[in-house]
Amino acid sequence: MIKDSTEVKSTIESLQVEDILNHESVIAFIQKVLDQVYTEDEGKVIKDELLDHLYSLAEDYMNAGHYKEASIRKALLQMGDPSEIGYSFTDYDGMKRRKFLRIGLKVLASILILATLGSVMIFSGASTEPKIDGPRSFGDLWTMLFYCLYFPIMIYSNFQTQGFTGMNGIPVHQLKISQDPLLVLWAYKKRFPWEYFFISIFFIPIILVFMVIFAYEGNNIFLMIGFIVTIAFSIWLFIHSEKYRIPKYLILEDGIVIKNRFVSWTAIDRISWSRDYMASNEKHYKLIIEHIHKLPNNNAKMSPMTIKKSIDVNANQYHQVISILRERV
Amino acid sequence: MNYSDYLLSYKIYKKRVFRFVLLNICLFIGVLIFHRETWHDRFIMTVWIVLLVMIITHFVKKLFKVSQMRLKEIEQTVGNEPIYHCVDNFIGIVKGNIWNYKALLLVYSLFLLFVLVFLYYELLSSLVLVVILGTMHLVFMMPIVFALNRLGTSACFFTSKTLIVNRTTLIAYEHIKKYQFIELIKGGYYLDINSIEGFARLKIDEAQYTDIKNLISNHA
Repeated sequence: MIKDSTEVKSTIESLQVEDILNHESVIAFIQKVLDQVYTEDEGKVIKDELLDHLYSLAEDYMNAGHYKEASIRKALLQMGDPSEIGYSFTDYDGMKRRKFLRIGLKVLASILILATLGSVMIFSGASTEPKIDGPRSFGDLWTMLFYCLYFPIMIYSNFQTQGFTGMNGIPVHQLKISQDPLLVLWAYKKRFPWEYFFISIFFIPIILVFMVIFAYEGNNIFLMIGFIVTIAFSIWLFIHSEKYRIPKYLILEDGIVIKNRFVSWTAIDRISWSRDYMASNEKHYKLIIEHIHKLPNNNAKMSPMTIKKSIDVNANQYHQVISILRERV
Repeated sequence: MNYSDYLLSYKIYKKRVFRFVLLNICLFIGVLIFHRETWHDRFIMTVWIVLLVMIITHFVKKLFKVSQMRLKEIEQTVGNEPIYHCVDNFIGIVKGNIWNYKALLLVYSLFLLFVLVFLYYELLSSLVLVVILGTMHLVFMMPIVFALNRLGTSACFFTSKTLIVNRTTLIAYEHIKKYQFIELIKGGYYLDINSIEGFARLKIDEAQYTDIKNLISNHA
């Protein structure tokens, strides 16, 4: 039976913000968008914008005469694919700038370390007496021959060991990734590592002794302080540069990307969770992925090795990560 | 071709490489012995080196006894099985990268030769001798670099029931817990296999993909 237009309008409820906020489809839609966003702060801004936009669209549909439920659904349809929306919010220029900054800091740290070590070698070489029993270069040649044999063997066997387990990952640029990531893991702030700072204090007496000996031999004490400060600064630069790697972790359909290296689900034997006590907010988590590596030759005397990697998981994404991993590991 | 045929050609090339490595080492030790001033000193040094080599060989044989037994066991188990597919292990010398490995090995060998030549000059102080020794080292080194083609140090084989990984591990298809093909942008796939016997990551060509997928899925 066709109703009078006034009767139709009087039966339609007015749209409230809570209707949008609490609607299941809207919650799922917003979540899917945020899964593709790189940082939590960006996510908060985008969420507010999306909700505003959805509300306006739904209101327009309601003013056109649609029911509340239908208006919300039509508004959602009109918004489009949530993954594409999330991905379109990616700041590609920002990503490029961060990548260059990260690489630049690492290069600077490497140059500082090499220059400092080179200076230490030159200065220490100048202060020692030449050998009396033979040409000074002879001992250095034997040392160089030893290092030529030792270091490649060590690097090669380390590389082989890592490769056997699959946990060192495949560089992402080699892979053909046809789909958008399922989830981009958000970074969170870490607190200052006071424990490591206090442990380093124990080494101060040893450094002081070396500085006294150095000064006693007639060398410039500020040179030694300069070397120590430069090396400490370079190490800090290496660690700090990783802060600009955003995103650090991605969950794809086929595996996890950890710092640009892909680890497949097949390589992961089990997972465990712990709290991240280094997080400024203690409610964040560490996801530990493990691979149980059986040693070759079925060597029964040696028990299998467990190789672990840990991944920072923001508390706001904890449940999504669990639901994704439940299906795949 | 079956697995024992492959092993036979592998052992021949491995022996050849070992001979040339031994020749290089003997040349180096010969120079050290010759550097001694008197024949008495040279004799003593030779005796010490022979004793040292015997002790090292004894311990190396003991260390590798288990793995040698394992290799023999694998050969007896799957020696007569025909090979369906040969693929590369991810961590080894992959077919696509063999020229990169050769180049790297060549550069490293030349650097080692450079250091050795300086050492010989300090010991012998004769440029002519140093050039001759350097040339001999170069001649003994080339076959090692070029043997990479045939050694196939990362070869893995699919037979009717098992996967042989790097000659040291047998993975039965029915023991595979999970496996995954990961597509590569330049074509081909990585195949990750997690089984009771261990983990393996293999590089598979496009042409082999369907066959290998069917082989594993029918038995796993």
